[in-house]
Amino acid sequence: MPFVQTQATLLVTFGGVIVILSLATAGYLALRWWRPQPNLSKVGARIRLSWILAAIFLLAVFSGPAILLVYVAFLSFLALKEFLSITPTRRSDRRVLFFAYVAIPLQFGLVWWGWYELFVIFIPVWVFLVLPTLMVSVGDTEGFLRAAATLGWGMMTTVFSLGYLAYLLVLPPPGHPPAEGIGLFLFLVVVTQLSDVSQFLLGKRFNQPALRLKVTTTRTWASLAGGIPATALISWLAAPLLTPLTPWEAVGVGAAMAVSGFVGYITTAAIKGDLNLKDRGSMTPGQGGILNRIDTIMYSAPLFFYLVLYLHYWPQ
Amino acid sequence: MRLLQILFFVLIVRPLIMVVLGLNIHNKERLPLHGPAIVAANHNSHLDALTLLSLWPINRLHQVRPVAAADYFLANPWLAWFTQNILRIIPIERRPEFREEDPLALMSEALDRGEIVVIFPEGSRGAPEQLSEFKSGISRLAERHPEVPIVPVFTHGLGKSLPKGDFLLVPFFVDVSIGEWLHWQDSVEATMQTYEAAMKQLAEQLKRPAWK
Repeated sequence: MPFVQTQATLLVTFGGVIVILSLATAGYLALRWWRPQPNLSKVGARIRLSWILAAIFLLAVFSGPAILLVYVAFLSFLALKEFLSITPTRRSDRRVLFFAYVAIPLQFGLVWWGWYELFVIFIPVWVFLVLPTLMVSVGDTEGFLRAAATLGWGMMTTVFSLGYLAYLLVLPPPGHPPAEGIGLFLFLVVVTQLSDVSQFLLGKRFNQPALRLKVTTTRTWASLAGGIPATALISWLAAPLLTPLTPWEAVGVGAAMAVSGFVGYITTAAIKGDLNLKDRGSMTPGQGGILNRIDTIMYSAPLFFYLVLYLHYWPQ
Repeated sequence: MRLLQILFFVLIVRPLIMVVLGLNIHNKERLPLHGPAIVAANHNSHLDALTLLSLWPINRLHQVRPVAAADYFLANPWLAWFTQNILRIIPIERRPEFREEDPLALMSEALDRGEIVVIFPEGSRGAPEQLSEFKSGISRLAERHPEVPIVPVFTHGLGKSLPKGDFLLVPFFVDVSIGEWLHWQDSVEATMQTYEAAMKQLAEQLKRPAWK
């Protein structure tokens, strides 16, 4: 596929993103003017952040996959740092945690070299076994299992799962790619974000007691029920532009991503509940934590990656 | 020299504190932007002073003076040049037998010039993420300047990132919680009690898991 067309596709995608953000901003300003509410400023902060993220993304996407890959690796670093900061860690594991951080450049290096066979086992096998070994070598047994399991969970979600988002960038063209790996990457990010927004709005609109969940107040069963068709529609609209998915495949992939995004969100909510951070709204004050931003992607990235691989890379 | 200080903070300190560590500042509006003021924080790490200094906008930086131990930070001429010209410390002699003059005199002069004095009343970094006993120097300073506010600041996370006696920096988010301004309470004991209560309250509000 010629480079020029790739750029054109990206431009159209960003045009869409900017239109959606502009509509959201206009809606927010109108709402603030006509019906001022105290909790509206939170929505405003979210929209502002979305603009900033879109701007960073725009720069990163047009500067090429290498920069974008570094960007995702950095996101992974911020997410792991936040995870290790909000979960209880043991003083004796301080140096072990340093090596947990070292795994990030290694994992994303594997992505850059396209070394798929090692990429899929590096975190779940090697890091998973080696970090507890380092902890044993320090010798503190009190709270060992809890610390090892917590660290393993953090590595799998913040480094391994996010790695799939980066791996999309280095996928070779499957034959008829409108925008190659970068198209798949953008598709995942845009569809996940819009799916998030639809589920958030549905949860706000339909929050009758019968629909409520135990672990969170910001998502209800209506978020899931309505999010599936909404995300399927978004996916169906965006897929021809950015992915090799056929229309029916796009609908199925979209529906699956709505479910995985929902699960990712409520899983993070359960972790916050466990750590008594529930009432804070976000894990870190101000703009909300990194984990809150990537909770849905953590679950959607591996799912989307393998669905695309099964459908367009492996069957022939 | 002011340019060197700005470059050092913009190019080295801020990227380190903001990106490698990451700051959550609670109640930033309570940070005194203009002196004179006494900012009194807990002490866990060499990064404490750098973290606190990076709270202020670059154009206020020259007004902020961290108090640091003379026996440690003036130990050799290179370190002394750096700490006095770039960090702009106010040296304090911790060992009474070496004190030739009033140990609070330099801080008192700084307050008279309208500067912001940053001080760690624990006196030493101590065990990571644990409060040790506060020394009463801030109260004695407040006694001489009853109109100057004492701003309690509680930090959490720096003792995890770089504790005393370790050189390996491990990234953790850092919480900086700024308390309400306190004033001289007519006695050293009462002022210290008010300060201690404020610090305990800030620590409890953070609700961070204990580091064992």
